[in-house]
Amino acid sequence: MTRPILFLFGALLWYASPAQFTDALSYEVAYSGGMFLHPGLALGADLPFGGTTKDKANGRIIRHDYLVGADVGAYYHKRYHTGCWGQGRIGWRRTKLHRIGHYRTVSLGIGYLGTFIANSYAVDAQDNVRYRSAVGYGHFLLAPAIEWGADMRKPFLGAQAWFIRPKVQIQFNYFQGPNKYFLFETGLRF
Amino acid sequence: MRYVAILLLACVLAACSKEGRLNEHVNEFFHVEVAGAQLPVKVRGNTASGKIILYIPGGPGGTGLDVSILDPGNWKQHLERDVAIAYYDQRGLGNAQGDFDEGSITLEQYLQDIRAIVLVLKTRYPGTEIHLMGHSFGALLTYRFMNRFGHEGLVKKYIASSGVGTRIVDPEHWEFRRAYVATIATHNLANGTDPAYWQEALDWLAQHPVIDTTPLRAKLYEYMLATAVEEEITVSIADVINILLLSDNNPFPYYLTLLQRQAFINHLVDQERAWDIKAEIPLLHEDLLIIGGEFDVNVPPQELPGYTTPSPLPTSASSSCPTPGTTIASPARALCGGGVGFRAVNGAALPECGQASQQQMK
Repeated sequence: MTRPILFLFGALLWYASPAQFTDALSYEVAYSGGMFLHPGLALGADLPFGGTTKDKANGRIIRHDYLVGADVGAYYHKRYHTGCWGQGRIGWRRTKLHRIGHYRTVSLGIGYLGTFIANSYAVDAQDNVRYRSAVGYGHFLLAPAIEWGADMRKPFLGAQAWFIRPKVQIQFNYFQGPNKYFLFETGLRF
Repeated sequence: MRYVAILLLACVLAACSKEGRLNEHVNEFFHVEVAGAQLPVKVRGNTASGKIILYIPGGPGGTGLDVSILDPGNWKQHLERDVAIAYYDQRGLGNAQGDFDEGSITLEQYLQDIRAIVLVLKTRYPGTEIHLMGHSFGALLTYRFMNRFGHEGLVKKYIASSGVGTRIVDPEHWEFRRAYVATIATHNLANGTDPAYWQEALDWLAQHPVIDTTPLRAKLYEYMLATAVEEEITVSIADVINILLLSDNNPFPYYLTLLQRQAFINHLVDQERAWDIKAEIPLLHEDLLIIGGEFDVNVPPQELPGYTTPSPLPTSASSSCPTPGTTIASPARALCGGGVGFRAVNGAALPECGQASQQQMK
């Protein structure tokens, strides 16, 4: 499994190009894998604002942007739970315009997570056992994330950039304190 | 988005199966909802045998699902060929989920949870015998379950492994451990193993016939730790990858929330210590196999005869094992001081004594 992933990242790095991705509203489609391999999908939009560009003496050109955004997504972890989430997001992005458009975004999402536990048997006070195919719970959500990305050398299916984004969901309303769940996201930005 | 929702719903429903399968290689997973908690249960092994052992993890703080993955007793290759084992995570621990409050973290509720799982197992696998097997703290829950619900007949037989029989406030607790260190020290001196250290230990024991202060208890415990035999359990890189990346479970609640769990784990320990276990164990009236280890520093073999029927301490694993296929009568007549004695649960074919003793020494 490791080799195909490394190959994919290598191909994407090769495909990166000088930066064009700056201050426009962008949309994203991403694989959102719970603990890497439990599959999921994330859709979102980012709007940068307050951008500044600095020409450094050594020839480097660095751009800083603030971001607001929104995401929705879901993941399927067969023996844990299925999660559907939606969040607003604020962040800060630093882009190296002089290179191949590498950018790094630090963001914090705030939202709601619905979890569905499959295959559950409820036992009541009279010892009756009742089967339920799915039981739902609601959670408040915080999701810090770091995104690394780069612009595409030329548009691929209309995408301007690709990215990887490790993210930890801090899921509240769990007894043992906020539960944590790791999501590895990688996708395209349009 | 509609197609995504349909796909997810299909995935959720595909994971569901109301009826358990009865065959020799089952690996099934479901949750039991009881008093607000969703307790994950994994059933693995031979359900066609008509026997399921519900494993009650130790701790407090241990997780059952984790035991099923790491498989320290190699049960997957041995025990699970003959019977099925049900692993679960206790409320507040591991991958247990749901909506419940701190007030439900009690030993009584833990017993109710076990009972609920037993009821679900009997519903999901009709006609199957359910046996309980508790380790350490789980053994104490087993004793409690027997006292509380044994008369209901939901559970066929019981196994208690490395379950302590006295509390630290009991003078006997320290007498047994003092005798244990003396036995090991004498044995090591006779064999020429680190004679200076063990002579010093014997001299110290001679000077302190009563262990009744914290410094003395700390020193005794130091000697006890020196008697421990290292367990041959290795965790490979593949194990780590399996747990972190490929696991059925979410590893965060297991390994990264220890501090969050500590408060209610302490709460459980306090409840456990308030129970006069040595007075309760002789009252057990169900079929029970008690398992100890010759080098078990938590439950030294000297302790078990203290509350079971007095019997000579066996000197080797093989001599301490019951005859295969026999049934141990109640209350608590079996003691395998030299290792463990599986083979006695209602005639079930369980692992050979010698194999198990290597894995259960501590």
